[in-house]
Amino acid sequence: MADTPSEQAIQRALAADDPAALELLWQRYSGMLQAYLIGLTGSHTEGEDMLQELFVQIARRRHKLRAARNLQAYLFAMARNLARSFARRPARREQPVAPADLGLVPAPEAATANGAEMAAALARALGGLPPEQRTVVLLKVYRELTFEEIGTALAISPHTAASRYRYALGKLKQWMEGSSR
Amino acid sequence: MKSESDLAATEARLHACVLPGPTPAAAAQTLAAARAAWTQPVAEPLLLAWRPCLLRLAAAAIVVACGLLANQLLIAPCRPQAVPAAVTNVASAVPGDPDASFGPRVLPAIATRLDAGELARQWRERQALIQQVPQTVVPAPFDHQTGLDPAPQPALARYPVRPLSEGVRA
Repeated sequence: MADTPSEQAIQRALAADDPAALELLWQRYSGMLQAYLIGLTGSHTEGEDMLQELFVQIARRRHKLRAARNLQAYLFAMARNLARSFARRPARREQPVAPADLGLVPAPEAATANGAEMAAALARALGGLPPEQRTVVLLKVYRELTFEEIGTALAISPHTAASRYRYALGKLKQWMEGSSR
Repeated sequence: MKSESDLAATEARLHACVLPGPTPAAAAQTLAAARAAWTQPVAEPLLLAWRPCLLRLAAAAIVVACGLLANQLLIAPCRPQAVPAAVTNVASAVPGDPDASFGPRVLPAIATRLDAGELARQWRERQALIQQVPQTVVPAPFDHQTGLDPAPQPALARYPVRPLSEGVRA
């Protein structure tokens, strides 16, 4: 993606207290943060709500962002803490656990009735994974991050990210084989 | 163990779907809310600016507190107990005491249980006891080295005087 702003450009805008930093942050990180939040919550709707809340927090706490050594890791840590605080809210706890709605849609080349059905089945299978494995799959497959980048973002080693990914794929394969019988 | 081809097949099924990013409407709404938060005056928290100093101060306070605690728990119990003033002043507290070494001979453990008056009373009793010993002269044993009879000695010199501490304990 040629139009993705660099981290240095974002840091410069933050240092100058320029509100344009918000647009730059959005362009660079909104997609991966959204996928991460969806992976943590297992819900597309909640992930989008949290993303909005996250950017409001970013605007309020921009002085902390300036001092961050690794901006991406800091943003993911903010997202993680936000998801935890959402999970602790009484209204959230009282809600019944909804079946996972990750918002997966068929790729344009597979946009058929069968494709939609497969996307729904895949979303259910992903919803059954533990959040730490689900987030790795979403970031790797749908945001094309490397294991190195995932490890940096989630504060884990690349090997841990890779092993979570392999475990997740193994479970998905089993689930798909079971559902196809 | 899953084979690479199995995992690749699962991966291919995952790639047959997409996870859409935030919609333009959601992006506009989010950025508007974030810009509104940005324009609100945010005073840099005082704690953040002073954080390095506060951290050092807290570390120093913890070190001092640990030192004081270690002193109370480990060092102070091993330190010799100071002799109470009543003991060091025993000699001067005894009226007419001719024995200057009386005070230092008193054990602190005994002195803590007895006051100076009690010690003085026991001292007087002991003196009276010594006075009652008959001043008879007893023959000294023959000195084989010199072949002479040594001069007779008063019985008092050989009188087995009980240590004061025994009398006090009794």
